[in-house]
Amino acid sequence: MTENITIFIADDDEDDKQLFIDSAREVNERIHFVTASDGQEALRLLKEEQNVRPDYIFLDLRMPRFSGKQCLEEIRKDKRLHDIPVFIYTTSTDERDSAELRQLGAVHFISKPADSGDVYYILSVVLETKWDLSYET
Amino acid sequence: MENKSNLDFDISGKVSLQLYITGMSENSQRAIRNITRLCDRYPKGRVDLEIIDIYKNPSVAEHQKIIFSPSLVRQFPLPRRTFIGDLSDVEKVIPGLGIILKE
Amino acid sequence: MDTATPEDLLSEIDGLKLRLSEAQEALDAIKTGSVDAFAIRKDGKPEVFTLQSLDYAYRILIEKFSEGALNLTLDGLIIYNNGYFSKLIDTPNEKVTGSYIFDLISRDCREKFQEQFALALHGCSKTETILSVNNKEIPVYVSLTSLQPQLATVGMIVTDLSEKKQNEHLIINYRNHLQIQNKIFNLAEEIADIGSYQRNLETGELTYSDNLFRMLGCQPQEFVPSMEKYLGFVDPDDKDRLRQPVSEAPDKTAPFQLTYRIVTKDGKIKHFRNTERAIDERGRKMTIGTIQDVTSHVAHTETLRNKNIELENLNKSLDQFAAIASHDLQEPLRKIRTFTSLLKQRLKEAPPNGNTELLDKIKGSSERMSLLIRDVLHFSRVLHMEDMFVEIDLNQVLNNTLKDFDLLILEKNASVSIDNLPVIEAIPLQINQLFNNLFANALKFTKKGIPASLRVSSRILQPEETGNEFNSRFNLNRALCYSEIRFADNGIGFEQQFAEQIFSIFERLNNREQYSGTGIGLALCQKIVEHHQGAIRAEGRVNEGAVFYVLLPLTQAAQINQIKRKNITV
Repeated sequence: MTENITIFIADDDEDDKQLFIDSAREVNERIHFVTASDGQEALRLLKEEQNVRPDYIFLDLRMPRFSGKQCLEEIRKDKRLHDIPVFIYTTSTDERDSAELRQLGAVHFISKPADSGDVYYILSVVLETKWDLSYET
Repeated sequence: MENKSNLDFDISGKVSLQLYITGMSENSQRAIRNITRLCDRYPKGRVDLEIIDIYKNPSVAEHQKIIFSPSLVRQFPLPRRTFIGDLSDVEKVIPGLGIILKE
Repeated sequence: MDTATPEDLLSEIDGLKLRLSEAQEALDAIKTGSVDAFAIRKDGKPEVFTLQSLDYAYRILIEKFSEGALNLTLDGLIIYNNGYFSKLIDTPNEKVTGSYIFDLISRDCREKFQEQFALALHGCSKTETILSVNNKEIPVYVSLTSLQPQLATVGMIVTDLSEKKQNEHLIINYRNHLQIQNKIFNLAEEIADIGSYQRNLETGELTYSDNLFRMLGCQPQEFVPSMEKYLGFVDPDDKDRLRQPVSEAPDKTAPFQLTYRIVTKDGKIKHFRNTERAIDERGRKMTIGTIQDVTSHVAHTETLRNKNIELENLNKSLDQFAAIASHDLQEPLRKIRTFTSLLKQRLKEAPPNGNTELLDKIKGSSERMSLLIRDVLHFSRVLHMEDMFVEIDLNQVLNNTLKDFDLLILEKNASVSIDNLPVIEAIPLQINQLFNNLFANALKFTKKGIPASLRVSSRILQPEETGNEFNSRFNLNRALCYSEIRFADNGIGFEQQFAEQIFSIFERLNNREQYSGTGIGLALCQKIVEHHQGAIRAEGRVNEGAVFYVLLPLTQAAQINQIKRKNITV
């Protein structure tokens, strides 16, 4: 694809964020990234009207101040944001978390892979898929 | 008078009777019953009845030659009269006792 | 020849006729059997002669009697015995007559019986003895009477005591049984720490069991029980609660139950649970009651309650800890894997150059791992503590901490002011840790360019403050006296909305790049103060600094004579 897309990623871990950005750029070098380092910053950036509406939102769960779950809840409440696909991108491998967050509206629950190659793979799948959000409550 | 029967009788003067018995014999028992029934039929105080057991008091024979048991002796009114046996034969006893029968 | 008049003669004839008829009557009577006997003078002595049927009645009497009757010669030979006796010794009449009475007496009793028999020869005697016939032993009561001088015999009346003996036996058994029951009952009372009492509602008489006296600290039956006397043992606050139900109990059909405090004769405080009920015992109106010493039960219940709360808290923090710890411990490891895979990739693509960056990252991750493990161990140690509480001077602890941070204080150009802190009962090592963490934070989160300033002060918390808006959620022990120690800094502060979050383990408000640390410090502080029955809370304002309030009790256990406790209803 060649269209300009914007990905929003919130993660307090700089390494993980960098790895994510690098891998995503390999899938599509024209992606525009908006980043946040904690939940509070994430919500602020997302809610600001003049900012570009991202095409994808990636949220880490464990972040300082507001957690990924809290962000997700806020996003789903926001009229402007609620049809953007939200992916939880986290170190947690807990299935209970996965079920709970999908219940709250996350499109997918991705456990951060250790291998950099896997990150690329996941992102390529995500970015090439058309995500249908018609099941939302 | 309470009991009205053809055996109602009347006596004049006081009567003194002695009944001699021997302890628990059947005859003695009957004699006692009979004489007390008889005595119950007339006003109290008119008859003096003594019941004497000759086993307990053999000395009663002192004054008489022989005393049978059971037997009833009328001491008064004189003359002395003796009835031997258990006194079941009322017809004989009553006139003997000097009791005037009221018809 | 006599000159007898005809009248005399007639009279004599009449008299003779009468006498004749009487004699005839007598003969008839004899013939017909209507006379039984006659008395006659024989040799100057009156004598009674018995005719046939007289003794029949006596015979029947003796035979049918439900007592044994015998006639014995002066040597003890049985010349007559009645039906009852033969039946009693289960021997036919014919066999009994003609045997000696002594042979029928049990060997052991023979001598005594012979004595009694000898006595009876001159009068009468009564004795208990045992007949032994056909291998059967029959206990009997005998009455012996000499029939002399009329007859040269001894009469004997025998009363069977078997049933009586059996009953006696039963009674003795019952009595023994009852004695044992009583002993068991008394023992049971002692073991179960129960006392009992009876109250006669008509006479007002009160009886206490031995153990009730003991429970009151007295000797059994030491004093005459009375309601007033009892109330003398009862705690003044509870007296009125007791008086009313006691007077009502007789009218109510349901038992009354009440728990109250008493003070024993030797000054011990106990909790009694008293149950009383009215009963109608054969027309006598009474109440019976039990008193159970529930002092330890009360203490146990409270201990149990406390332990449960402790356990709940422990479980909560363990869960939290386990979830978060495993997550955070995974992070460095994952990074190591990621960077090594990246490294591998890059090494394949290009010759080694500038790859120290990745290696540094790997090193950093492993270091972080070690630090985390260290902190986790630290943290878990605090959860299993057996260290002793001793009296420590907090001023000393604080001064020691300051010494540890000497260099850092100089570096940050920090000023520290300390007000007088109290002496408390605590675990020295842990309080050390606590102050250490608080100081480290204060010196870490400083504003750039502004010299750090830290103030430590303390005050005693008023009892009513333990339940105020700030402190009520901590469920502080109301029986203890708390000191509130205040750590105030002028650093970067934080949003008040995150004031509770910061105490969660590994929880950070900033990311790793901004400020170092594993995020365990405040969680550890919380664990430590909780172990001391205390609490910690924080107040912050962004860019203006933070204040940490540490609440610690002066002593770990309440002084009983200082604090007035409410009655505990069990």
